[in-house]
Amino acid sequence: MPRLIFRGIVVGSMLATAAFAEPVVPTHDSMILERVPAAQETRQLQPLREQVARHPDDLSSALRLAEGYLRIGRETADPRFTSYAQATLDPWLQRGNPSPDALVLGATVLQSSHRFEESLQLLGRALAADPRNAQAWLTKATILQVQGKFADARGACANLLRTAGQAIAMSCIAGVNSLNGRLEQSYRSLFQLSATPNAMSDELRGWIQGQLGEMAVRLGDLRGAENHLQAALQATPGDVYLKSAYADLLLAQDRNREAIALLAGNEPQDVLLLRLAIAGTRLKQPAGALWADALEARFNAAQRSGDTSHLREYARFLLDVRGDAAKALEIAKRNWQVQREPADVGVYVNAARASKSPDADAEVAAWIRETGFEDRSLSQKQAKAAS
Amino acid sequence: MMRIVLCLVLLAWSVVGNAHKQSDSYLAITQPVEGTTLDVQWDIALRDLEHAIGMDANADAVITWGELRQRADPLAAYAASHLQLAIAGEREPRKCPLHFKQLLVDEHVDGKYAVLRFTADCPVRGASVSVHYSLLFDIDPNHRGLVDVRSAGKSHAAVLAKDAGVATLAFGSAGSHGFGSFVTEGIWHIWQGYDHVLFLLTLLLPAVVLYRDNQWQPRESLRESLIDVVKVVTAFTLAHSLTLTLGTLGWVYLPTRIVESAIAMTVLLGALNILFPVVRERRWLVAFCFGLVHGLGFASVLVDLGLAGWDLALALVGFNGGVEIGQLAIVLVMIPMMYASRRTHAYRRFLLPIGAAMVACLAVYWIFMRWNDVLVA
Repeated sequence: MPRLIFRGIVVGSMLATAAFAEPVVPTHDSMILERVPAAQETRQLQPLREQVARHPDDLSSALRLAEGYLRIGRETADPRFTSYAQATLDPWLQRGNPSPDALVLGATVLQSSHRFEESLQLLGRALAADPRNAQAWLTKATILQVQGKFADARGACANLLRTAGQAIAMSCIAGVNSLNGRLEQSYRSLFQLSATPNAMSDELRGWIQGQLGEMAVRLGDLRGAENHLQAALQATPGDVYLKSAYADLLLAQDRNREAIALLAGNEPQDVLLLRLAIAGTRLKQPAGALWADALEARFNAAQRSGDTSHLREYARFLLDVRGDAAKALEIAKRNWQVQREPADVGVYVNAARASKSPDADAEVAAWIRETGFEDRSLSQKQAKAAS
Repeated sequence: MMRIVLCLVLLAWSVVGNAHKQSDSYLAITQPVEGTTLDVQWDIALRDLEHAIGMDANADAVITWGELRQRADPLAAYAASHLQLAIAGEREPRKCPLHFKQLLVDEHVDGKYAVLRFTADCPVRGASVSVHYSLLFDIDPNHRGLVDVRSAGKSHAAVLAKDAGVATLAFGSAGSHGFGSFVTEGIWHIWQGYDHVLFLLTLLLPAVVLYRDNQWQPRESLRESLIDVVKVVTAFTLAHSLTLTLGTLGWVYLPTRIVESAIAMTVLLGALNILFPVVRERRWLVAFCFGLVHGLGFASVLVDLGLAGWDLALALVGFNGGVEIGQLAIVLVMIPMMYASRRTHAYRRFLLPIGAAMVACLAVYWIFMRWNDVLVA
């Protein structure tokens, strides 16, 4: 309690600025106040939600409902749905001996709020009860990869061979290896997999094409990357992760207008608003300043309520929009302690160089040597800076 | 197999993470200067309400003002069932029932919010309010209530969460503001309240001169001037400390309108005394008598905070100390300048009479405005 109140006092003065304007009474009934994200999908879950409310002992319905919420959460990038999934799962996780499936979905909830260690703990319990749980292995591999623990991640992927089949296991291993000294080789094997005429779900095809696009960027093959990302977006249109990757590709080539055209109307999603703000700022458009201010307000609001899952985007915002290299480095450093995906490496390296911090630069360089991480877009920039 | 693959891919990608901020509501509880009714304003995100009780009546994926307005009563009932306020003082907390007043709309960083205005009728006035908050926790364990309790310009805040949904927040007590902030408050009060500064000046300006042969003549020694200054300042300090204490403790009470008008009147009389000197040597007596009025004005600041006991003593000492520091700073800056320029024509023929006349005009304006209760910045 005292801690909460203390934090409250710290944020108290900022609360007054939380609202943009004075509250108003709208004049017309037809005035649109808010768009409901994924209204149709949410409505489809309604019978399941009522079923769970009526029969709290129905595990299978609860799991399907939680899974539905997680899917909507991923599509809309709105953490509310992840929380709804958590609320659905909590009664099951608090039981003496939770079902492995409930544990895996619970781990997914924790993972999406970047609570990686707690998530791994739940996955460990799930796998102890059910060693053939493919979802548990894949989620575990993903977290370990994000944390930069590549050997362990590969071990988790290997378990997918006998539980989920070759395609998924290979994608998993290629993803890890591509960060661990075997980028070109991983790209080639994943490319072959994508070319086999297997019947593949749109989701899996989108996932593989997205991975290929990300690898092609690091190989310096921007045209190839564009093809892969377009194919991925065709398979799973509207995917926030793919859109942001594609926007980054455009931004890297200074194709700012195309980036804005791609993302127009996606302001509600912070990761996409960040790309709009970068493009708009570069073009010195008036909208750029509006996007930047709106995004900063959201970062501030997230910080006030103690949410720290925005560090990667916040560091990039400080660097690429505000030009505040010193503060960007400070945030990138904190982010580095949590996650080490290519985007995290990129923002850390760029912030270190921009603020001329040899220590941070050396830290990343040592990590790159140790892991064999490759990213030609970074070394090209380095070469440009040196010349 | 298909289903498991779809699910696997979904799960693997969830690591992209949050691209939105979590759900927050903003709850502001205000205690007016007088009375036992609290004003409560509660901003709740429309997206949260859509999931909690359903807002999009015609299922067209947008929430319109019409849809929200028609659901005003169930919405208010839903919100009120998740909030309990109780007034806490020295005795046990006593509940303050909520009454729904008005529905509005506001925009926060992550979208539109329904703004619910309630009043909470508390049986007594208290030093703090306890907030039992449970909105949305059943469906969204990561929801947070950002509570802000305000009174007399002070505000205390807390972040309420599922495992910590209760907080007791004081209405502007000295405990969290500390001694230092009251000293600062006192300094600012005297510097920003031009009436106090001007009154002091009308008494100090003549300290470096003597009224002789129908005009102001420079005093010969610094010592004489300083003795005069010390007498005036000490008398003023003693007087306003006395009434500040009596007023804050509630032993002496005059309506604000009368006190403020009387303060303006002291400024007028002080200025007139320069133009047409009536009291010449015993200005310290004037400083004492009029200082009593100024002290009551200072007291209104502390009374507004609604403090009690130790908090009050601390505030009183700190605030008074601040007033003295602020006043001393003015004296230390003014006296050397005045003493150095006392022989000049400009000081005696221009600054003294014309300055005094201007102050007198301003004072008349203040008296008019304050007596007629017109707010002056």
